Amino acid sequence: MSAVAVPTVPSTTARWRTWRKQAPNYLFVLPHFLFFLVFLAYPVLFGLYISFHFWEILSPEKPFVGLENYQYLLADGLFFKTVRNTVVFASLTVVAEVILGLAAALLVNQRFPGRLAVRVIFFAPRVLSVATAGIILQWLMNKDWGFINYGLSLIGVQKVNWLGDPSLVLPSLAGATTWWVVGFAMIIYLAGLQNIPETYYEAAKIDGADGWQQFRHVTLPLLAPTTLFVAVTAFIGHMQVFGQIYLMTQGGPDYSSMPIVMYIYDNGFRYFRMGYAAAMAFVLAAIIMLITLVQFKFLGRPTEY
Amino acid sequence: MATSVRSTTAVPAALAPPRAAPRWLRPRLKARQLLRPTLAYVLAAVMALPIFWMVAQSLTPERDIYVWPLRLFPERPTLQNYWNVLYSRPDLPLLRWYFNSFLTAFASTALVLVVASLAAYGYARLEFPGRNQLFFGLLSTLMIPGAVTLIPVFLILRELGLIDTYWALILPHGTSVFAVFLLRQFFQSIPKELEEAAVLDGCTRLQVYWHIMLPLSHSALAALAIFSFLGSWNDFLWPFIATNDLEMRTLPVGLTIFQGEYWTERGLIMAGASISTLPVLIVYAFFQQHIIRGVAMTGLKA
Repeated sequence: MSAVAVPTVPSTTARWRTWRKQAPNYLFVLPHFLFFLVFLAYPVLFGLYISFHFWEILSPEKPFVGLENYQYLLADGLFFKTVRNTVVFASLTVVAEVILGLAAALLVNQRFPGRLAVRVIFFAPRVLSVATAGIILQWLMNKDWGFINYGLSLIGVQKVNWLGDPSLVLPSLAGATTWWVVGFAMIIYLAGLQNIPETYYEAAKIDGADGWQQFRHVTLPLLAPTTLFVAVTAFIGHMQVFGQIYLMTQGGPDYSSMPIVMYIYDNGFRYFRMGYAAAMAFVLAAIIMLITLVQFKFLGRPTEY
Repeated sequence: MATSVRSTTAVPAALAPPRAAPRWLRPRLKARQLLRPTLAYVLAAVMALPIFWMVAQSLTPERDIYVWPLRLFPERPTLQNYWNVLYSRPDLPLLRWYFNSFLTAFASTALVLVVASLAAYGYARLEFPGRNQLFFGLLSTLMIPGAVTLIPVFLILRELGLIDTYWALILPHGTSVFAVFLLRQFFQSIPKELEEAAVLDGCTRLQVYWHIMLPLSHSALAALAIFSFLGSWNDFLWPFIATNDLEMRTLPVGLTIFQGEYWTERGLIMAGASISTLPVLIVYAFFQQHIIRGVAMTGLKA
């Protein structure tokens, strides 16, 4: 009747009957599985295949070159620069996103007049497209005509070249991206905060804990899974940044803000070195997975009380 | 000091509890209570400033933009920029980009909802050999970053002649494993008794799916729809790669090209950005409850 495992070996006819009964069930998962095969599984394997070849889109010859693309990668100074840029950018943004998202959630977690409006405003930038956010922020950070430098000039601070100074461009981009995405972290943290039972806080109060101690010993540990979720998803996303940087600095000045994905794009779609670009994409994937595993190690331990 | 009949112990005046100040002297709110809202308002103003600045600049005539000191409110507000960006630049089909983005987002959302819900029902409630292995296999691919599939998918679609078509923009979204995962979790939380009752009444699997699973999970479906729509709307890199023809670009890509060509005409650019933003913000203002709730739900389930 059901497909629950029974200690006896079913007869051949019984097995055939079960199979006939269950066969149509495959049809439900089939559409999704087809998409998965065509747009995920096969491309990943195909990409790996390409990375072992000299794959110029215009030339008919695509010779097998083994690990040559990867070897070239290891000798490519610009590649290492983009890796450094991307890791710095992603780390700055994730840290800012986690801290400010949590702070915003804590702020909004109690009643005060206009609280709902504040929450709506905090999340609003997240619904803008990456291009819109990039256009606004680039103009805001413009050295001569941007509003940020105007505000600074009002308090007597000199104009800062946010996007044109190689030592400032990555933090500026991180700050801009944080403005754009922090609403997401805030909402996730709000849900996590509201999931913490009052009883824990009451118990802590009985034990004599003040506000700060409650935060350290109740809130923070119980938010660890939430923090893991925010940090991991944010990191994976920001490691693959492209849009806002392409729009705001085009990778400049002098490649000091160029992320890995933009280098992949340049190699694949401007220089048509698709084999090389494909190899780079796999190395990027490896880097991301490695750091994600490290994050799981540090933040993944479940908290039991 | 008057002695009262009630007090039997003498309390020195210095130790007596202070009498409350008369009502008109008591401060309305403690200063500490003001800290939270004030901080919140200030931060909200900071968050909103860029958007506000974009709109203000879009209403500023070009000759007033490169003028120092800057003004938050334009001296001579005008709609000329909006007119220009919509009608006087034939090489910037803003409305066509809008249409492309909207069509793509709508179609890919519909695709994801249909494909993922069918699959989720299969993985959640239907039995077939290899079901769990298949599902967890799918789940493990969530770790694979999207960048890896960019070039291969592009080459595949190019072989099929689908570059620069709507298919290229829509179809790749059907693979969403996250959607299947989310809906499966939700379907599993629906009591089995309902399904069994329906089966007893003679429902086919498809009918159970349509009449029971779908209606009961409309909040998860709504959250997924919103997520998917926003994701498609915001997508930059894939449409950038998958389209070449100016008429087929989506809004984010078009705006970027726009900015690249006309970067000195700030009023024009800000008007273009505002046009693309205001409808989204309006939709957000109306649906923000659902949107925010949906985002929170995906965080909880994960």
